[in-house]
Amino acid sequence: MKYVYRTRRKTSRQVYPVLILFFVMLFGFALLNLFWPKRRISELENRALKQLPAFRPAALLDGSWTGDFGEYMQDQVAFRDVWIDMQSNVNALVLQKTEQNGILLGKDHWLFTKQFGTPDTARLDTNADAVAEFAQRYPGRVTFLLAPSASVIYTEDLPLAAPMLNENGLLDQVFATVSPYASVIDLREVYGGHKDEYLYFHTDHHWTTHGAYVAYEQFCVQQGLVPFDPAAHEAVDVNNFYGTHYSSTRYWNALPDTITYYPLSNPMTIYTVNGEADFTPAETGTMYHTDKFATRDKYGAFLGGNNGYTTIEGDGTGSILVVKDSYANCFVPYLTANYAKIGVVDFRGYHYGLDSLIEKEGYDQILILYNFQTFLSDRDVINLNRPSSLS
Amino acid sequence: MESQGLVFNSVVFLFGFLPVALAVYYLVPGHLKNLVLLLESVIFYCWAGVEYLPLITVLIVINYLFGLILPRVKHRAGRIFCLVLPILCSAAALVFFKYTNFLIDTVNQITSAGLAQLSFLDVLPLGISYYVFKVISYVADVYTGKTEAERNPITFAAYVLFFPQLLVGPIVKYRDMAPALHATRHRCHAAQMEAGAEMFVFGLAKKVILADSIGALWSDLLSEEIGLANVSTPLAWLGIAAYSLQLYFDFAGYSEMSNGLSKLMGFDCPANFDLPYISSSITEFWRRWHISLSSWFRDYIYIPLGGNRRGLPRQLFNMLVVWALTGIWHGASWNFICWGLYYFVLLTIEKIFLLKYLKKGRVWPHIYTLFFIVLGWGIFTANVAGAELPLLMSRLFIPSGGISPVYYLRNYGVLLILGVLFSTALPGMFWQWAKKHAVLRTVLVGCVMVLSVAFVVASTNNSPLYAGF
Repeated sequence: MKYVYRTRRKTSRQVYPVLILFFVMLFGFALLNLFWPKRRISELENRALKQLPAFRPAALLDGSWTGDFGEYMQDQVAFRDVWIDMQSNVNALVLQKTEQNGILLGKDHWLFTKQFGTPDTARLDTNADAVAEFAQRYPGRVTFLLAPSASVIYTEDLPLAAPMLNENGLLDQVFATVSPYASVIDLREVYGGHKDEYLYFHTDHHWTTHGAYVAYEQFCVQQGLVPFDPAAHEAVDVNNFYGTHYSSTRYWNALPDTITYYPLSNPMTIYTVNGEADFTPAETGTMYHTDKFATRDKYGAFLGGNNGYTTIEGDGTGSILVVKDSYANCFVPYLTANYAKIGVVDFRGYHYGLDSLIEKEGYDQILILYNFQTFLSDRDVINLNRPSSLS
Repeated sequence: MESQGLVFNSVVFLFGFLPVALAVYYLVPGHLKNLVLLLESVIFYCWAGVEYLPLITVLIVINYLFGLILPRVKHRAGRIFCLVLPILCSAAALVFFKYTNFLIDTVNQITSAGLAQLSFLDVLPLGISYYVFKVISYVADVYTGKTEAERNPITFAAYVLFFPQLLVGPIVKYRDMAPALHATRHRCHAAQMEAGAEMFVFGLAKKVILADSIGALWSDLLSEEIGLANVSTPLAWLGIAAYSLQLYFDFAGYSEMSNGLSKLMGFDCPANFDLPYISSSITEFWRRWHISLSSWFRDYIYIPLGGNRRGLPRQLFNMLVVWALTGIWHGASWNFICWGLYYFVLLTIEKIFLLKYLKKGRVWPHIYTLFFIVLGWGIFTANVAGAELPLLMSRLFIPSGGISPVYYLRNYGVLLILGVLFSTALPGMFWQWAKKHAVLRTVLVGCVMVLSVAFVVASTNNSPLYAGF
């Protein structure tokens, strides 16, 4: 048998607009992409972008170089921000989605953290037990403030029928575990009464300076302190804050937030942590890194971000150690009205037990301040009870 | 576990590999096109590492040589030997790399022999399920005289490694691609290329806009936080329906991208999907779903076994073999075998009596068909953690409370409506009309392409579900 393979002949001299468009977009964009300036970081996405991977023959053969190269092209693609905005707009406007990248698009411009169903709460229980155990070693000296999520306070602004986790029940459980040993601050009721005030950022996962103040007032009531008087201090508003939830969603309908701060002159020292209860001053200044207000990460201005160990000279008497996540960063400045010395420990930068530090620095009071979402999953809270390695 | 190859829905493929590959392919003269195609396919194949290049090279050499030898052997026994040997080699490679650990596992469960798993087999060699079927079809076709043996090793290797079909098929026969592979002049012409561009763009949209977005519903339900056990019965149905849509758009979209690329390079390949969800019987469904696979099983297993020519009992036996194999082809796991046998039962029932009633009905055959297809996907995905079959079946069939479907209907409502709409013939009918208007057509393709790229950039790359099979 012999097969004759027919070759096709050109039939007509038509124009092919779709093909031309396809090739213009394919080849044109590929060329543009080649010469498009490469970036180190994406401010909008709040992360470092992949750089051209160094070439190694071994990495080429095992496929890791091509994998890295693929990520590099994905990260450095021309108009990356425009593409991402476009996808976000189509999702929200055309497809009418109520969530984007793990953030719920709520009513009234709210962006909430998506926390659905019944997550594993083993870590939460461990953390609550750790706080209770710690408080038993320092009777009468420990206050535990666990801030609820915005979605607990503004439930009605959640997307329709969102199957949120039962944060109320879990908060009850945590407070029940800790309250026999420490004074606890449960903000749900007081926040409910201040609901029409600006308690949480809409585009970020933090509370506002005002939300922190309402919490601080509760702390003062409990401790019998006279609170910091906001009316007696100048407040500065920083506008156009688009926080982490905005970065995740790029929601077209997001309203920029406003960050307020009180430019207090109390000196703050950030330390380099060398070891347990061993640190050297790295930087001294005020409690605000105001240059951060000019960037996208505006909340990072408070206390200069999350540092392992920090001290602040206050205008009051006695001393307090704050063990915290980033929620405390805009809360701590108020404490200068009440204490002479405020220490701040963030376990992300201080990987030791606290007993030696409390003893060495002589702290009278200890405030443990977290928000629910961190406390649910944080693996460092157990450091509270880490035995001292010093003898 | 699958190895991550160079997926079509990534920036590096769309604006790195593809433009370069097409440009070089178009620019070289006709007699070099197959060589270029082969080199490009080798690069594509080795994108995730070179470790399996020797394997595919050996399989290409064996099948190429036996293809050449077969027509020269006149003796009947010799001919059968020359047919069976390369098929055995190819099939053995597939069985070894895909099923060894599954077999070890099964033996261990039966005999408690405690054999150790082979960890180097954890990653399936890229595309092996597809190219093994391609080379078997080639040798069989040469044997039966349906095609002439390929003399040029470069051309043959280019067929086997053809990069548009390497990751997830379709399983296109050599005889369907041979005419274009031998065209040294005017292989590519604009009308065909234009159709290919359209097909590629629409396939990309199905994959990245519909499949990936709708698929998030099902994976959300399987997440540790939600979990199928907490889901109400209506939501469980919504979830498995969403998974059915995802699977279709994922695989059909990827197949369309593949066929679109083939057309852009001058090859006309048969459609792999033809609106499977509008079928009014399971029999019809399997003529419309993954057509290249079912026709491969028909041509190279069912018909050689005697098909329907040796009486009903023998036909049923042949069907049993085909569907057991179809099941296990999808993966080394019991749920895939069950899924294949499930279709064997359904098709047998239809063959024996149901089909004639289905042909008379108007609405109920569609409901019946969709019900069993969707249920089938439940069995199909039962090897995924969190989607265990007893759990899923109890959520589906024992009315129970739990998380209501309201949030998911609200969040995925438009996507689900689009998914249903694009499972019907309506968009195709609209496109036939729109095609006549050059401006409308160009604008439509342009917009779909821009949108798809936005979804590609904004997502981390989702590799196609079917690359694991």
